[in-house]
Amino acid sequence: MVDRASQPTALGEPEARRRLGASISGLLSDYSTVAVVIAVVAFFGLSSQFFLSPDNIANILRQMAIVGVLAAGMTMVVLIGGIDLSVGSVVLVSGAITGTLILNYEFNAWPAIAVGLLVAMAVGLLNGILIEKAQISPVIVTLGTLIAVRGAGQAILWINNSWVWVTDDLFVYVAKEKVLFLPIIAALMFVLYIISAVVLKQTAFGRYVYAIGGNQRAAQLAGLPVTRIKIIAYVLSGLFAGIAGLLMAARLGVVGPSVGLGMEFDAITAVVLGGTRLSGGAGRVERSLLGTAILVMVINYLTIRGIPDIWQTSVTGFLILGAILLERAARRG
Amino acid sequence: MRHHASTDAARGQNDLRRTIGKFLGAYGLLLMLAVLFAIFAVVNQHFLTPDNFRALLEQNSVLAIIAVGMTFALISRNIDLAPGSIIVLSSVVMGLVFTATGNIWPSIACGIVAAIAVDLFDGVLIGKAGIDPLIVTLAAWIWVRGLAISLTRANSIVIRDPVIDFMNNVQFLGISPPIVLIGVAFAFGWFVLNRTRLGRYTYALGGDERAAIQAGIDTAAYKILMFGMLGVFAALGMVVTVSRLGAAAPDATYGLELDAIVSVIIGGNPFTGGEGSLRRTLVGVLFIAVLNNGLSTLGMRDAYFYAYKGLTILVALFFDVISRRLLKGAEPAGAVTEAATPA
Amino acid sequence: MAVRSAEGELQSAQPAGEARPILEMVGVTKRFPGVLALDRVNFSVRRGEIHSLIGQNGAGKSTLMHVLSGIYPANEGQILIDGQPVTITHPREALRLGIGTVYQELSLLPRLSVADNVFLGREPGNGFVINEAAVLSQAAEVLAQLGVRNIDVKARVADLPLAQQQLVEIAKVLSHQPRILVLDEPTASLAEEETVHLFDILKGLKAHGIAIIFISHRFKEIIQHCDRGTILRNGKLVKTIELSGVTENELAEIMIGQQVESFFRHDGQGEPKAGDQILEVSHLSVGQRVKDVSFVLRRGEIVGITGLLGAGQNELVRALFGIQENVTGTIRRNGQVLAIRSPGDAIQHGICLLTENRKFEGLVLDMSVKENVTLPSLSMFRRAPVFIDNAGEERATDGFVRRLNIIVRSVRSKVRTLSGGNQQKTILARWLLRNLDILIFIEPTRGIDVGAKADIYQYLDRLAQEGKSIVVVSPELLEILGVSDRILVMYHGRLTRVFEKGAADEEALLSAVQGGSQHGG
Repeated sequence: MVDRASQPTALGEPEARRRLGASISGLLSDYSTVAVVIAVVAFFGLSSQFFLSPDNIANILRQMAIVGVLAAGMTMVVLIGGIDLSVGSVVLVSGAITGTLILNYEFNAWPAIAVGLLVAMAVGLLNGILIEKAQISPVIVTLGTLIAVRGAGQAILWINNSWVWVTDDLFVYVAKEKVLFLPIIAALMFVLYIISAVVLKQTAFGRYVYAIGGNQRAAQLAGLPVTRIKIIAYVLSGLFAGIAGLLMAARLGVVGPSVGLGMEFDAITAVVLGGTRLSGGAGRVERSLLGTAILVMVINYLTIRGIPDIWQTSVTGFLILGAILLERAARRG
Repeated sequence: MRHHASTDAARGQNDLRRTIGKFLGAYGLLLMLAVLFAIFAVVNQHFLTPDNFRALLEQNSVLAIIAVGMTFALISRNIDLAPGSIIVLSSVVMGLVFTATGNIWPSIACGIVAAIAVDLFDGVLIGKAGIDPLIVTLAAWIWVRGLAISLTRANSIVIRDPVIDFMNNVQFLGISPPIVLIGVAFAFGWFVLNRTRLGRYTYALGGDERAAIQAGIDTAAYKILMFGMLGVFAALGMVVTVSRLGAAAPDATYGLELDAIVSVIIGGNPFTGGEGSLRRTLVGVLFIAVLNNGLSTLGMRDAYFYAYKGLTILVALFFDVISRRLLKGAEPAGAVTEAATPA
Repeated sequence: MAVRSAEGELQSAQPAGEARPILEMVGVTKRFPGVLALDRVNFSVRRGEIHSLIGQNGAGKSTLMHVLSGIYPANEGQILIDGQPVTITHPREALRLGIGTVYQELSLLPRLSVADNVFLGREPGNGFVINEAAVLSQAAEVLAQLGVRNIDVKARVADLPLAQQQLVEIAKVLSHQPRILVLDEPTASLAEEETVHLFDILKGLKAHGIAIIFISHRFKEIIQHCDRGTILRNGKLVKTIELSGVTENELAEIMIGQQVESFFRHDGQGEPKAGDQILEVSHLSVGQRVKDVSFVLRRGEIVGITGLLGAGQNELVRALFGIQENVTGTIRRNGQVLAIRSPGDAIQHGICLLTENRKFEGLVLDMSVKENVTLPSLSMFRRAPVFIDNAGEERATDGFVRRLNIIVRSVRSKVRTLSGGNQQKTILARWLLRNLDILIFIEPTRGIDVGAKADIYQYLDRLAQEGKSIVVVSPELLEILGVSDRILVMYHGRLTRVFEKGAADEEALLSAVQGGSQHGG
């Protein structure tokens, strides 16, 4: 990188120092989200001796992995101004296909994974085409695919009486092992986030995504391939959902008909908690990671404290409500 | 001098497009409905019996009632993801009061109040605080049901009462109370939509909120009022749901709101709002009802059920889009035209 | 009857000496940051007259009417209605005082019926239920009052042609029983017979004693149908005159008057430096808006296209950029026919368009200056394998910041924080970076302060000297005159006159824009 601090510009500002500052403040720009995470960790950590134990942290990270990956894909779609309600079903179908191929058709792990992910991307492609080319609202289209794809997934599961056991070595390894104290699943999630963040910030594709989300008409008039980029965003969402589905299959050890049910809403919750606006054009994928962290930590805490399962659903709902109100207040103030 | 279309041939082609577009738009869905009917009737002789029809209507009565409310939401450019959860919560309230008092009427009353209260709460967040209805009702979808589950520890509350029996077992000329309530919901909805300010301003909100505000309409107040009314429909839905189950079940009505949205849209009401009618919703509800019923009398199990349902919906939507495209290409140029913005 | 001096010069109309005018605006002054939009303007309107407000773009007509209709208050001055001083701080107050305004942008709900639109928000009936019958009958009454006979009150507004939609909007305003009716450029998009129909209706209202203020650019109809006219220039009142017997030329003269400062003159070094032909447009039509237009564009020249509002110039250039539907005809470059169906196509053939709507159609406000500038050119800044060369971007953008004199703290500042002129320069930088050779500008200096305007004109000049071909579409005649080598005038969708370099002056151009033929006006 050129050291611009020494180069005179028409503007005359020292650049190097500002660049570093900009990167950090980029993440911290939404102080509230980071502050909330810190506060949550502190509060929970102090009020429960188990919360911060290494085992529990590993547990939290594992739980974060699946929703986190979904949230990353969802962020992509939200940034261009759309939404994808079908990801929960894609989670099912990718796991179902991969599991079945390994179990019944003697596929090796990697080819089976490839097929599963291809199918996931195909669903994303279908979504993208219907939304952009046929100009049907994203909510409606992804609702339709939610229903249809879940059906397809469940149909595939019938081959094995609705339960596909996942015992392949690769999957078991990924589920159980750690790399540098980090459960592999969580590590994969972090890697995906890093890749997404870099793509969004440092590549042309990322630039286009923000431009389209920020002002689609201006992007169009600047000659950007708007339709193509939006479709790609949906394909990516499908891909990420497919990855999440495989991680889930590894973690649970089995794929059943209700896998992934309702997960799209978890993903949306994580995105909203992270502070990304659903209207598009603004937000960072890292924020969704924070949102996922908050969501999972809260649920984990409730579980540790023995608060029954059933309260957890309400708490999630209240969380998202609280997040919105806080954001509103912050914006007004 | 007014300049006419360049050639008569071009005009003719224009007219053809309009005719096809209009035809598809108005009758496309009915055609598909007829086709569905035919398919199911041929494959399963039990389909075309009056018993089955009544069952069809009864099984989808809650859907029909909620779809009426959903029509309002969509016309006004809002959305409501919560009705299923609200029905559950209000039925739980009803159940708790019934367990405490043994008296059905105050129980129903409390349930009604709960439903309207939750919807008003959502309405205030949407109308006054200006929060996106998708988020607000999404949150409600989660927390309302969550609350219901917590209150009952995931158990159902049995409700035994002659009123419930009445709802379930009485038939008059082959029509049972749930079916009557469908009619009530549609009639009430039609009246409000076409004859009252609330209905008129629902269209205004969806058509051009800025123009509505300019015309002096208190958009916040009417949004709140509209959501309150959605609570009324949810309450109706609660009554039917409790009757059919004989209990307040926290796991009932999953997927109801999605079915309702699909019904309204498939019937031909545009997702972007500003126009629409209950007549279209009725057709859409029938479509989904026939689909649900037909597939289950075919003995379809979960997966095929979902797959075919999803596919049929997508096909129906496809035709809707085609008809819109044909119509659009042939519209007269005017200053005030529809803004096509997919949500 | 128009009053003239011994030399034939038009005199200001004297107050008739009878009843007070229904509206008097006295000494109205309105300032915006950096601009004096209205400078002690006096304006009065009598009952039962059609009074036209005349002036070039930026003369202050709209500003004056915005003050009257309560959109913003004046800094100084007084408004009297029927002799009583009033304060108007909100459009609803204006309405209550009897001032009804019909804007160019209709406020109708397209999917509701005519009757519903007329009474939106004020439907007869009790608090909850609407008296549908009353809505229909009262709407019919209002339309009848207007003199409109052929609009069905039950019809959907979206199904009506524009001219009728406009009548519905007028009916809507009329249902408030205004004493003063303001119409802002109502005939801009109407055909001739629709205009005649509109004026018949206005004359009907006149007979009822309603005072009508009519803003328009079209001399023919102003002279033909209006009683008096008030001419504004640069925010100042020039004259108020009786219109009967006035000729179009006289009106033009008053409007232009004597320009004290010499406006920017495109220094073409004498002769037109006509390079080779770079673009050939043949028989281009866009639906009903552009009819059979053909022209050529040469290397290194600046072509100005002008006309009245709605004459088709905007649609013409949008067709060149691929964002217009219903286009027929051919565009050729170097003899090859170009298929331009999207901005991407146009850009590939070297054509770019800068619209007048820079905030909504030009810039992504939340992105930085450099991001906006490099948006279509990211392939130029690739750092292996797929990353963006940030430093390169900044260097390039810095370069343009200097060249175009864009005033900004840093190229990383969000473009939202720049002034209008600098935002325009940012968009210009974007296309210059791409090195396209055909640049089309629509209203390039709209809403920009004088200093930045001059910068932009100079830069256009320099670009032309470098061999680029520039098209400028603008309704501002002085701008077109100052900047163009050649001027194309459009009228009702057709290319009606072409002025070669130096052949046009303000009067000739004004006359051409009004539809005047080569000889006489």
